[in-house]
Amino acid sequence: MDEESKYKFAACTYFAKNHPGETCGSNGLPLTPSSVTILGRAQRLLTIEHVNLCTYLDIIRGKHERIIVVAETIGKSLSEHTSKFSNQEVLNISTQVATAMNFLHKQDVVHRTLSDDNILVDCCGRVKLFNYGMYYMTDGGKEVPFPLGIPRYLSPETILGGAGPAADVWSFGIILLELCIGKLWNNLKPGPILRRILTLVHASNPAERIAREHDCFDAYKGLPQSVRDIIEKCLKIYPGERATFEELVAELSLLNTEKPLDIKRPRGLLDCKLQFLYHWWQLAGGDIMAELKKNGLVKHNPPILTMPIAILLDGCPVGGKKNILFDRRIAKYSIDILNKRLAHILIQDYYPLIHERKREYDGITLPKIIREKDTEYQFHRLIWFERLLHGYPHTVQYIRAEAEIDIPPMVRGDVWAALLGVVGDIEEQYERIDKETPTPTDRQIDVDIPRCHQYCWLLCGSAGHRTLKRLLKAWLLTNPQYVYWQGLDSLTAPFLYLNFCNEARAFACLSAFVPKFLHKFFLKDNSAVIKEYLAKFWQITGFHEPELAAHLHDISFVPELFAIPWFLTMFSHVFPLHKIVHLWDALLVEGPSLPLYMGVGILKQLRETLLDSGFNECILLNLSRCAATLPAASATGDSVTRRPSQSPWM
Amino acid sequence: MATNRTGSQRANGAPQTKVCQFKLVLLGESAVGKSSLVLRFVKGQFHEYQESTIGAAFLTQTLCLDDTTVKFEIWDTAGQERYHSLAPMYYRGAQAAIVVYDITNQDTFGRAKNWVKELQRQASPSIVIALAGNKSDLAAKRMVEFDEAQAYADENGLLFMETSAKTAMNVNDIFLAIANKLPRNETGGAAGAGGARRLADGEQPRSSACCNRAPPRAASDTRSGAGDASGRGVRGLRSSLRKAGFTRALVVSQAV
Repeated sequence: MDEESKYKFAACTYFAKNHPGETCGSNGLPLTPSSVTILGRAQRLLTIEHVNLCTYLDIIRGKHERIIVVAETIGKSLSEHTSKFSNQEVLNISTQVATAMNFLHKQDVVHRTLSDDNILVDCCGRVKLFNYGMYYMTDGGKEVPFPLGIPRYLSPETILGGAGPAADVWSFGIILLELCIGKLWNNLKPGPILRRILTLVHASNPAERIAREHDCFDAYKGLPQSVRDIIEKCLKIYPGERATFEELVAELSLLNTEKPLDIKRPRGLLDCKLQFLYHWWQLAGGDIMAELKKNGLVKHNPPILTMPIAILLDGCPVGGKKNILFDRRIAKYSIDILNKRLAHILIQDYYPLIHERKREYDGITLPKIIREKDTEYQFHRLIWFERLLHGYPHTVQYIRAEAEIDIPPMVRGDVWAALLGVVGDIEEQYERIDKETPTPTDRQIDVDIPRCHQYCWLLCGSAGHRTLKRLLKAWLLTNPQYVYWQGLDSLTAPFLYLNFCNEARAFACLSAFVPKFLHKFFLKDNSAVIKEYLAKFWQITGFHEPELAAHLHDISFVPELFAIPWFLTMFSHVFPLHKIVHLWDALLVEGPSLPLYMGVGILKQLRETLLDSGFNECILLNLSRCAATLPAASATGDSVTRRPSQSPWM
Repeated sequence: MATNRTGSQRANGAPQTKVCQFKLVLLGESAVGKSSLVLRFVKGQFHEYQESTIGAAFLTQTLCLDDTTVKFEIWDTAGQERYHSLAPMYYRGAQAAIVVYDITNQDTFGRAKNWVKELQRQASPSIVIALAGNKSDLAAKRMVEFDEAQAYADENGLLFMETSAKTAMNVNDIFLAIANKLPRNETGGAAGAGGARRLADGEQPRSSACCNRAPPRAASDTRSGAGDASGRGVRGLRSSLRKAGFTRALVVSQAV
């Protein structure tokens, strides 16, 4: 393996804008930090996959508004290639870049920062765009304190501030021109470069003008007419006159005679999904931060040097050593440690057969939380689940059986959807629901969402808020028999958390979850069903813990006073998300009577304290503090938990 | 202001220290800051993203007033209109109520007025009601004028303060004002809905010692309620419990 192909992913880092001081939004809440907004927006990028795009793998929020972006990497960038490309190579590269850009524009993603250092080419001539989402994730550069893009690739209208997708076509034209006649404006500072670009406004043919400026007019004229045509179609002053990438792809693929390379699919580890590789690599001890520090991309200054000289009354600091806001360098990572860790795994283990008798892995006796951190265990589980999910819905009984053991965090969203029986064209169905028209419930939803699981970086950003609101409105509209009860927001949050970029699936999961577990709970008058549920809960508590139940009864510590939020939200209002996901893993497998036992389990954990306490002490106990463990449900017959209001098909 | 010094006072050997327990309930539209007010008063904390309250939450806090230790048992209720049906369970037998509105939102003031009306009609006649215009740190976005609220409070005999759970402005003061207005002797207590009960020195202010704490005991036998106004609460809850099958539940638990 040569030097450059051993790197699988790369990271770059920058700082998001810092809000000065303690400014508050119109609702009196502090402004959402820019880094959180970026994190929310970048989630969509994580789902974009294309052969000519480096897949985004992770967006990490560091200290002091630092953002770290991890993405796939291949070969090296155009700027690192020192040798000149042949005409054929230029055509090959530009076709692939145009294909990638065409795909991005179709997805409504504007690149804006296209430059020679984020176009990667490997030894086989494959091209991938790296970190193409800077402009998108920073909301058009609004969330970062530095300008985006390299001056020489900026179109005139970008410099004047007011550019659309056509600006990318200009950048593409400049890159193509550079590939043909060499680096432009090589020794100039950014200011003069921008001036040069703006003076092009008067030129009838900017490409020729640039070539003349660089004494390359003859070289330019020496290019094939077709290539010059393409460059000139890109370098039009008026954005509306420029070609679109769709047209460019069509023209370039006619010119490009080289067949796309048929690269043999690797076997074994490198055949696995890149996201899985990254996950396992992290479990095996891979550390993104360490490499960034080693390469000097993350520097720690002594605190004394970073102290501001003065702080203005509005909280803006003056002076003090600042970190570099955006370093264009990237840190690259090889997966050596993972290779070493998984070296002993046989090749057939990468391709298990569903009907094959399953091997038992020794990790199975460990607690769930440790299993989730075990590289090898997660390797086998993920490979296996990936296989099963591939065959969904036909493999649903296998998925259920495996989910009883545990669910790997990487595929939890998929597995939950499978367990809830989500099938069909959910996007289409979700698309049809009117999620925008204002309703009287909106005020309540609006005040509840900004306090729903806000410790979670995904849910506290504006992207999270908007999506959660749409989900709630969609659910209320499709369930006219139900109304919005406070707590529905918390109930929706786990689904949104796991399906952040798949709103339709989050909605489908919620829609399937409620009838299964909370049938009739969200009726306008739900007192009967809640009373029934609590009565059942109290009855089971009495069955399992007679002494405790009698004591609680004596001090009139009745479930109406503490257990409504437990059951109305299936504990999603009382536990943090990392606990809820484990709890619901079990819930989805075990069925609707499990929450009752979870409730008993909580009381059981606090048994000694509760027995020694009076009413006030009991109710002051933070009942939700305890671990979410499950008592043996098997001790009670199924019929005991049966309720008349249960959903009939359960 | 808000201290928990019962123990130390007793240690100082002040034999005349009275301990009074009062039940206080917070009512008001959702997201006006009820939970935040309580959290500020009880723990001195403020959470920007205080989560919504479902059903109700319970907290206690002790104040020292002159020669008396006042212990507040605070029921912080859910604000959403739909949870309204649960509210009587909490304000029944309460000696004090804080009705909260948000000064940046006129609708919440309207809702507060409705709560006051309901309390005047349904709660114990001697209940001390305080009106709190919360979020006074957002005075720039004020929609409810101070004078308007003050006039309304005067008309209805309410205590009134503009508070801010965020800056802690007037938070302790409003609880203190309520404590001052509540009758703190045995006779005064008896006159009201149960009122404050003085505990003998050294006796723990145990919850079981308090007969008027709501929700009252759900007695499984037919023993009549305390006989005073809080009896309403006992009967109400007991019947609702019975409806909900609690007697059955008890039978099961005893049979096992």
